Amino acid sequence: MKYIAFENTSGEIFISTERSAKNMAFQGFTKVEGKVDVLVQLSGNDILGAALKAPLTKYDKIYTLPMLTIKEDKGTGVVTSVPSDSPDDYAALVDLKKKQPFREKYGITDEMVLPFEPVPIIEVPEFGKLSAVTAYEKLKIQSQNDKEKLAEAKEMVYLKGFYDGVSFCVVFYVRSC
Amino acid sequence: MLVGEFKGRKIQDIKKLLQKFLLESNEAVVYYEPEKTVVSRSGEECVVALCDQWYLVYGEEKWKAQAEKLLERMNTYHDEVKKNFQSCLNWLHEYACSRTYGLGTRLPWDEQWLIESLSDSTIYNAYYTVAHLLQGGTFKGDKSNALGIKPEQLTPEVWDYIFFKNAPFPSKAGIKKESLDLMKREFDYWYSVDLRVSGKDLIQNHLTFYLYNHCAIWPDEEDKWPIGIRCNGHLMLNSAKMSKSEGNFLTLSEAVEKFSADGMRLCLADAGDSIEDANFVESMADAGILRLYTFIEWVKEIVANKDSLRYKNAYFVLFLNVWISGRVLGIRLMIKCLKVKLI
Repeated sequence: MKYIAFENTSGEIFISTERSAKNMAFQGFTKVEGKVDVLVQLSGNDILGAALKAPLTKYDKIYTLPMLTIKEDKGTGVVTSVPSDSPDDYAALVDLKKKQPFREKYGITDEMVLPFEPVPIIEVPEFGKLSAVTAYEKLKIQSQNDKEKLAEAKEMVYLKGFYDGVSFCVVFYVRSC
Repeated sequence: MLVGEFKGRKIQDIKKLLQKFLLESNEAVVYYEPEKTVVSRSGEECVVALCDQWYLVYGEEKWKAQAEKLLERMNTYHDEVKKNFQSCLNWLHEYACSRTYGLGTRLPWDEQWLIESLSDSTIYNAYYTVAHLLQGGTFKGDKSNALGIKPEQLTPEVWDYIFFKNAPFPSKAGIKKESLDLMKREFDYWYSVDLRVSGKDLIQNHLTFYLYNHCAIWPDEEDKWPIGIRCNGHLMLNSAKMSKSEGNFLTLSEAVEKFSADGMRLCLADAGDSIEDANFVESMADAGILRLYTFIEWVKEIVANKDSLRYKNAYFVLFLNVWISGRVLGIRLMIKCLKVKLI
């Protein structure tokens, strides 16, 4: 997938798909309305393995990892991985952990993936504290390409998580959990 | 600061709070995009743009209560229409009504903006009550009228006087009081609108604005509020949606040429009524013309031989005469008479 880097009005560099940058250009993100000053063209490969700092997580550093099911026409093309509650994200993480050749293909080192476990943040009745993991195991999902089963898992988990889920350990508070 | 505030709380309750927290600490920004790819008629991919906007605050408690009151007493002819209105009144809230392009009244307090047409076209019928006095018998109003009133003289104060019960007389307008009183009386007598007929797709916007805006303009003059709305569906042609690109299209004039006005009327009478999508079936229209032709020929024969007919058929023949003379007194009425009088 293709991405671009552009500068926003406060001098920060954003990385996203060009399509979403165009939308942002009409929402006050760029200096000139409607115009995106592309600093650099990137491919997904260029940004894989980059070390990142993310808000609301107990990990000091996390890494950009490949996910094969990200869509080019939705959002920015860069997705926060929440393997505890998103079956797609958990499946992608498991694939990376299980398959070393898969990691190597994208230049992902062991330390970028292996030490990371899904962090429990929401307790959902019948699904426990790691609802995505529960759903994944229940449906015996094999990989992130298991489209039908993943869709089923998503349906099981998302609505229930939103309406009946209770945060028992909010992530940024997790330091002392 | 916020530590622990979100603990043990339901996700649906804290989602917005977490979002607010991230925005305030500058760790997130709000971003919009179309739900799926949207392409304009000019072939460009559409984006979401943040624009300045004026909003009509539909859904405001007191205003909504008035609109609901109005709806309650209105005749909507079909239950489905009333239900549709009720559900629309339930969810309609701020409506973006300003545009920079197109036809529309300019916002008096911010003239760079035009009001969009669905919101703008709700009380214009009031003008019909006095148009005959102002237009000088012309469509464009480019000839003078009997009252000697010129367009420049019609200021908001003048219209207020005509359309409101208790507005002060606009002495500076230079129009005689009797003229304005004449217009005022016309409006007062003829308005409110007894029946507005419109497409069912407008219930969720224009027609609901129609209700709301009447309440807003005449809050204390309920006799000016609309009395009835009748909604129709969308006409299908030969059981399929009309579509130029698919070749399924028929204009009114084409239809009249093809089937004659009466043939068309017969077919439309069969096509359906109410809020459902009526269906104009061409084979029905064809059959209709044939029937009409046969009928006319038969009637001509009877009338030509009327002297040889017995008395009890006299009024039967009378009706037929009237029909042939070209006045379509309602084909159904004709058929009814025939059924009654036929030996």
